[in-house]
Amino acid sequence: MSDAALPRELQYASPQHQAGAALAGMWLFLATEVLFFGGLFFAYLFCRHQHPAGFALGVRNTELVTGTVNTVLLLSSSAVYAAGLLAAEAGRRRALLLALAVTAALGIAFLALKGHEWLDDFHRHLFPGRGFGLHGPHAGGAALFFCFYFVATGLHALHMLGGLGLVGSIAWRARRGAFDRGWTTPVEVVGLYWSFVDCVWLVLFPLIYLIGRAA
Amino acid sequence: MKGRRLLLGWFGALALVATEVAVALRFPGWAAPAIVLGCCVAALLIVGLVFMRLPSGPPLAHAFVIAVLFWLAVLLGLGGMDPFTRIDYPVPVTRHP
Repeated sequence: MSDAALPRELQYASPQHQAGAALAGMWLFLATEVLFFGGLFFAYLFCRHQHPAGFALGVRNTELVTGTVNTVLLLSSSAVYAAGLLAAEAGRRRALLLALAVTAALGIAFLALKGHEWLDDFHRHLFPGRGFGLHGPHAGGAALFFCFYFVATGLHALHMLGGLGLVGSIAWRARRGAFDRGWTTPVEVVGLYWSFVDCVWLVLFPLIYLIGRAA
Repeated sequence: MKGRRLLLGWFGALALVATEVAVALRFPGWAAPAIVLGCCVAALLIVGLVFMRLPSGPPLAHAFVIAVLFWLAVLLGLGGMDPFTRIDYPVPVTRHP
């Protein structure tokens, strides 16, 4: 298919120029997101430095199995989405739709597990405040840890919800044949966002579930 | 070829996560966090290079990635310089009228 047949806005010199601008725009947005989460991670580092024993106590009270399964789910969803992009570039609409469905299912499974984990945390009185369930000299540090835990996982879940909406919109457009003619830039742009959400979780996972567990 | 690369990346990232969990559970020493965070960075590289296809991205995207790494280093490095090097925390003096 010739480039002339690809959709192009008038301000771009070529479809490649338009695709490059869209991808660079998403990378710029992701850069702002990295700095947004960077502040959160710095708060974690600072508080952990002040309360190492309390943070280790908090880590030992998180659900490692759930966290590990969720990590595998998210990594797999990113890989499946990337496979879907390859299918879209090859003009295989059915394979793309299947990949999008699997990606969304894995994302929903992640959120369901995370919701179950939060409920369990509430039942064990791990939400910081009056009646906090952990006691002893390091309970204050553990309460700080759980502040970070709920804020970070909550923000991540909000990003996941946004990502699921975007994946759904790509599936809707793919179903209508929007990407059948070699124009796959929107699929790639949404894939960048979805993989970024995966990256955030890859950093959260060791901070919340691993570091200090064997102490 | 691209599909095979993707599959290898996926298996590699899963292996790194498994290593992180094994190290965190079995090794209580000071090196465990370093190994765990090293595996974490390696998994991030796999996602960025293979799943997000950064090497084949536009040059502007490369510039944004370099810029954000620089500013992240400034945020964490300069922000942490005082609290992570300070060894003396004087108790504030409270004056009662």
